[in-house]
Amino acid sequence: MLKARISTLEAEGKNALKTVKTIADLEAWEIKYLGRKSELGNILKSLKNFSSEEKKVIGSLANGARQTLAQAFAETKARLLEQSVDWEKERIDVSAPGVAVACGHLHLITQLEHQIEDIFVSMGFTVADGPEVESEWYNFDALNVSPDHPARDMQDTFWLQRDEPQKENFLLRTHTSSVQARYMETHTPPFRIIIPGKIFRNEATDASHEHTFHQFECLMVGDDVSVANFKYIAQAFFENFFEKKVLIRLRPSFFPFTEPSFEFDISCVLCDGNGCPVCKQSGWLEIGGAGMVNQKVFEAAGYPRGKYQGFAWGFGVTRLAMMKYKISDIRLFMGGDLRFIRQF
Amino acid sequence: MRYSYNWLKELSGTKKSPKQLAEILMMHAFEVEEVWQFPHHLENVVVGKIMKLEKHPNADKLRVAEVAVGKKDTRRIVCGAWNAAVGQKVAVALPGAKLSVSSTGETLEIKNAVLRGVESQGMLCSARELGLGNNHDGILVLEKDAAVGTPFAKYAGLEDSILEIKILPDRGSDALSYRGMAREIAALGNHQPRFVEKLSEPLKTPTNNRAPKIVVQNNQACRRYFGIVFNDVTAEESPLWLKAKLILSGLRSVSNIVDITNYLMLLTGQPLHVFDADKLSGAITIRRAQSKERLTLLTGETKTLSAEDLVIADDKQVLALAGVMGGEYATVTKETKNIFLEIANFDAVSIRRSKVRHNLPTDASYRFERGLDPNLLDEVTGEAYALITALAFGKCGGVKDIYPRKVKDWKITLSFTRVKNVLGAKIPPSEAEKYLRLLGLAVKKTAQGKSLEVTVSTRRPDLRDEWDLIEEIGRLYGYDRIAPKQPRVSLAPSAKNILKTFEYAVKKYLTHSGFDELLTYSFYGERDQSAAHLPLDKHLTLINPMNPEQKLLRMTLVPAILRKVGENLRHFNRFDIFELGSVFAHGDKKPIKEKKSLLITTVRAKKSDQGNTVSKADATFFSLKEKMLALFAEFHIQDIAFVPLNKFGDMPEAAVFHPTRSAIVRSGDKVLGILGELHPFMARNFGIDARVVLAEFDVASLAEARKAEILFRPLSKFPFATRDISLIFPRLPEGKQSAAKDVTVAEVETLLLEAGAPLLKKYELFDVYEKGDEKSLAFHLSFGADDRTLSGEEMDRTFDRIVALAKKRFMASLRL
Repeated sequence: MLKARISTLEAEGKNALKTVKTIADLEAWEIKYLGRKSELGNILKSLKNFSSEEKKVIGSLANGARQTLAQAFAETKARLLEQSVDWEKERIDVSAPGVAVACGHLHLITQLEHQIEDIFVSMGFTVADGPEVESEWYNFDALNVSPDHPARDMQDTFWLQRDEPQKENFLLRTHTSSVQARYMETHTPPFRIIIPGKIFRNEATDASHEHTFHQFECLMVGDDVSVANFKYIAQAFFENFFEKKVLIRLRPSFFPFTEPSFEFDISCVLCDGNGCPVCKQSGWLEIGGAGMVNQKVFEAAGYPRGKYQGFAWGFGVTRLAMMKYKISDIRLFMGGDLRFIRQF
Repeated sequence: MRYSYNWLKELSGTKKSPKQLAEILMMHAFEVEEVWQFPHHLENVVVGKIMKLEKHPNADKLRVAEVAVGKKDTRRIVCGAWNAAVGQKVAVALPGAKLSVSSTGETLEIKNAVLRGVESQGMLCSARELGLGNNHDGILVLEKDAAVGTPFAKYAGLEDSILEIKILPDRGSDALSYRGMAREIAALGNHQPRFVEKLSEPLKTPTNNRAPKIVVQNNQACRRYFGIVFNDVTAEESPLWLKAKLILSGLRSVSNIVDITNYLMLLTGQPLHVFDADKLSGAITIRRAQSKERLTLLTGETKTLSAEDLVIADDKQVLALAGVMGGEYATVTKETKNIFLEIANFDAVSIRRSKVRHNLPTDASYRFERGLDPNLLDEVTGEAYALITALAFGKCGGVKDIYPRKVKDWKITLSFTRVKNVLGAKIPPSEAEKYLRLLGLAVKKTAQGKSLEVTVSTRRPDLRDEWDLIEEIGRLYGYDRIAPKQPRVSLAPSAKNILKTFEYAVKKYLTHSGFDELLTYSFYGERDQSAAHLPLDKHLTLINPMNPEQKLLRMTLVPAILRKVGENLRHFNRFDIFELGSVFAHGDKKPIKEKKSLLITTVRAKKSDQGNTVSKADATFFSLKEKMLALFAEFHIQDIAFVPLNKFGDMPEAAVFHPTRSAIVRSGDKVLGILGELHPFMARNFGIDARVVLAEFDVASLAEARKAEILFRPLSKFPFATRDISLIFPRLPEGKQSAAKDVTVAEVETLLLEAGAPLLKKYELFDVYEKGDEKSLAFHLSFGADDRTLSGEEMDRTFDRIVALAKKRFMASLRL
């Protein structure tokens, strides 16, 4: 009899659920069929009074009915909740814009400088820097650029007016090499440093010439730092920077502060050395100058002649940026136009 | 320098093509900037022979020639040249030729033409029409053995390639010459040059030596002076071979004597100069010019000389600016009969200074300023003698050679270990030795065999020490053969650059807060300096700016950024930008003060004003202020105070800021910078019609103001109780108690902290209301204690203390 009642309750509950239209009705239904004081609940509570055999049969029957009803309840609840909201009324146009969140941009030069510094720092280099207004000594004399070297021509260097008699002439540094001498004065090899910075050349500006641009200097000095080491560091740097295989090519050159001196090229990163308009079909890109530090530079820094050896090289960050991003006008870098800045 | 390929080939014996040669030179010696086929403009010009010459039937001054230009090819050509004669070999321009005329550079197109009724099937050419000098007096007559029908360009040696080679500045002594380049090419090809390396026989001094007396007053500036007199020279055109060599090298043919000097300069690198000997009087003196002495150059230009200029003078006047350019007076002309030829060695620095001083870059100064070898003269004198006797028919009338201190070869000891260490490649000693020998250096192994004793010829002043020799070995071996090798280095971590790291972190933070980074020039002009009311005398000034608008080194980033604000307002009506860069000024003690400055700028077109606790017009200021506070919080810069600017009127940079809408920003006692609206007058000066708020900080001060150590504070276990307070402050009459008319938020905050301690933990201004002579400020207050939950009484007591102090200090009352 009880068994029949359980079946009836299950069927009744299921049927009653079909007429439930609101959450409130559903809650009433829940109390009636699944609540602690519901008939089914009472049956389950009374199980302890039955013999173990009956307990087994009725218990499983009652629990089964309860589970079926509970599941039906959950389904109905989900359906009713879903129906309780007019979703269309809530619809938004997701393609419409929101409140703009400003996102600024680092200048491309800053981004590249940081990227370059990162690579060198990972190879144990220290980032050094120095002043942009530099004395003639650090910019020229200490680097073995004699007073009559053509690099000192009025055309190339911005000189500062001497307002009162002063011992030294000052200028806007024409290269970051000026920091070499400053660093060496206060440090003893071995060391390896890089010097990023703004430099100045007194020349007329056009799409490919700028009097103000950014350069990198790299200096590594020790007991046995060699040309072969330079090739390794340069190659490791460029492969890391461009994230591809890069070849280094050294050609003879002359700089007063290095001996031997090189021009150095890298295999064109745009065409992988196959020839393209950027490398003028040569497969190589001219990147900068380098060489083994001239002993006279060491002497000027107070190191004994012949005790140390090392390499120095410099390259233009601006040039690298123009190459990497195919920027056609160098003046954009210092031009301050947000339409340029925001592209990177 | 421009080199003829054929001439280089003739001297060096190379078998490489021009392109191959360019490649080899580039990798081992010099950059070859360009290789091109010499444009002789002589297509359809051939060697012809005048077979017959008859009078023109209709013109007295013209003749009609039958000219053989090939086997069974004879042309009839009308010709006006006086010197044409039967049997002559001549250059014939056939129809289709497009000649480039020397003097004008214009193109002369040859076609069949009827001249006075007679058809002319070409043209017999003068030197000028062939581009071979200025002679237009008759046609050019060729050597008898010229083969009829040969293209004229081939006959003249003008079918050639040209190499434009960039000679490194330290190689001027040897490589700015055909022989020097031929030596280099031969060495790179692992062979000896083809020309014979020998010094010319010392010239025999004629028994009656009629060379003028030569006085060298300055042994340092003039290391050697060689003079030869030639008598009875004939000034005429140079032979074709000589002209061709000059033209291929980019020089013009002038006359035999001048051409010989240029030819020898090209061949050896030694500049020569010729004077008309009949114009000279007395001794030739090499001396410094007297100040204000004047010299009219052979270009006709008159220069006022400096006491540092080295000159060649006779007893009467200055004849030449030594090593740079000759004077007009004693220059050789067609009428010159006797010449004085100068072959001298001048000091590089002296010549360079004169060149720069007078802006006279010449072929001679170009070579002298790079430093020449005084012994080079010995290569030149004999050839000069031979050529002038042969081509200008001069007779040597006298010779003088002043060479007080002979420069001798020097020795360098080169250690093989050093070679290996510097290059980082194992080049066998025998190979290193070979390279040095190929370069013409004498090499001897030392006793232990670990090093070489290298004797360097005076021709190579660039080779002074071991490293110079290592460069020679390295480049001849080939840098591309040196394999990259990892250095052996210490693993010690690199030293941190704290300021740089901070700068980057600040920049990065600012971009995350919506600011774009600009970089601008480091200079501006008086226009911007005065527009920004900056003191001119504090600026560092350039002697040689690109233009007056870039004359002053920036003492603040403001003027340049304001220009950029104006420009960007054309495209954007609201933006936030910053620049971090060096600024410069005259220092108090040091002549130059350079520091890093950070300028942060918010720009809003006026229509976009907005705000809640502050009026709309003020929102831009307060928006930047809040962003700056967030920046300070990010970097743990604490105890920030904003002090009205007018108390610091003496800061020169402050002039661009609005006097009553700006603040000095301090961290504790330390001034970090200024934050404020752009002064309206400046905005007008810079043509900006927008709200601009600027914050300029000294980067080093920001870095120093960072809290050194950050320690954990235990979290309070007890809840805060909050309560609002609204205080009404009557406006104070001016002059009483404080200069400011109104109570400031900062003053009230100080009051809150003072009266609220120790239970007041937090306060936040949420309303400002001003009406008539009252100002009301409302704050949310949070009270709490670390060790207990506050009782209502405790809170009331603190609250009352605040109200009481506000009343006492500012006559404030509680708004109920």
